[in-house]
Amino acid sequence: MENREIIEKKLERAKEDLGDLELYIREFSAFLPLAVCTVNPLGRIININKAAEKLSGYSSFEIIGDFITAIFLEKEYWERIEKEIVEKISVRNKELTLITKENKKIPINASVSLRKDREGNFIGYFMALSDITEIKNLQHGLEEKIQKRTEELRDRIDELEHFREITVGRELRIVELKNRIRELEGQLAKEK
Amino acid sequence: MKLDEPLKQIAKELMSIKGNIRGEGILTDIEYIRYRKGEKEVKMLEDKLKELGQPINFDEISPMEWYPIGWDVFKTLCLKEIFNWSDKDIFEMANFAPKVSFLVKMLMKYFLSAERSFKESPKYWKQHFDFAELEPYQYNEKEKFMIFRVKDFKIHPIMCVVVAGYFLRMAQFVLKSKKVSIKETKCVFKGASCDEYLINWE
Repeated sequence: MENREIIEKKLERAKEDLGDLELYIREFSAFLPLAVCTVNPLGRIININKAAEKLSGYSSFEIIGDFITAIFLEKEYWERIEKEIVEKISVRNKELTLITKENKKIPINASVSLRKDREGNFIGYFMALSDITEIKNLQHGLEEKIQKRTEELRDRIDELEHFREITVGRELRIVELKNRIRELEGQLAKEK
Repeated sequence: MKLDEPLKQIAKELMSIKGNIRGEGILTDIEYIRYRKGEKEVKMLEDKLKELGQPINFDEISPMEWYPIGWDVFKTLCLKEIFNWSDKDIFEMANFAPKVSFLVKMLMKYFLSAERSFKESPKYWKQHFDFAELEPYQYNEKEKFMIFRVKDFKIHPIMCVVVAGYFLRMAQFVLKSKKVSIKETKCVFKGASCDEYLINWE
């Protein structure tokens, strides 16, 4: 009887601990400013945090159970990444395009980490997504500036080339004329 | 309150049934009401249960604690009446439950593949109910179907709808196919010795 009481107390304690743990995970996940998804081995989303809801525009209720490929533009590239995860345990900084609920395309950077159970079985993966729109815009702006500057420099080079052609052509003509004058002067001297 | 009379009577019968469900089984449904209807409607349900002599404070329910199965069934029947929900609505609610279940996330090790999930399903059942039994009866990868049998679960016909909705979602979690369907092929309320569910996929 005493044994039973001890077991029941331990069980009660374990349940409380589990409840606390669940609350901790929920609160921590909600706090994280980074979008995180949990995916099962078949590629189905089983959990997303608040930041991922905000980024994708989907509520967790809408998206849980769907295939992760559904939210990415580059389906084939994602399949290659999935294979890489199994081989390398974790992959970082993979650029993908997220398709939001409103069909908006957001460039993201994905880092993925494999999940294993105690027996070492593959049970899915965690995925962190960061919005790189600003970086991309900055990069795009810089590229545009570089291109513009390159075009300007190319124009200057063309102008200089044109100028060179004109001046060199003129110099050659002068030399030609000078030779002709010399020739004519020679002829004139002979006639005299 | 003529409509309430049968419910009050049903409540007595349901509360006498032995067997418990994890608190989470109740809370996931409450989450669905909150999502589909709103917080006010959750309160409406609490008020209705109180009015019918079966008060349940959902805030006090702990996900891992055991609660009488009668509570869960009675709550579902009240939902049907308050919101005028059909069996299809109840099916959808049950189909939604695994999406918000902490247990499902925690027990992902059972869902590595469709076949493994099928084999491990009795363990999963025991995490949710402390009575009845789930038998993984037949699995056929080639023909793309699986059959589950639920034994000693004669509670109320609405639970057949609930189990079907829940099983379908679990199958949707572990199958690659986008087209998965479920059908109750045997029912204890129609004279069978157990409930049987056939899951097909394409």
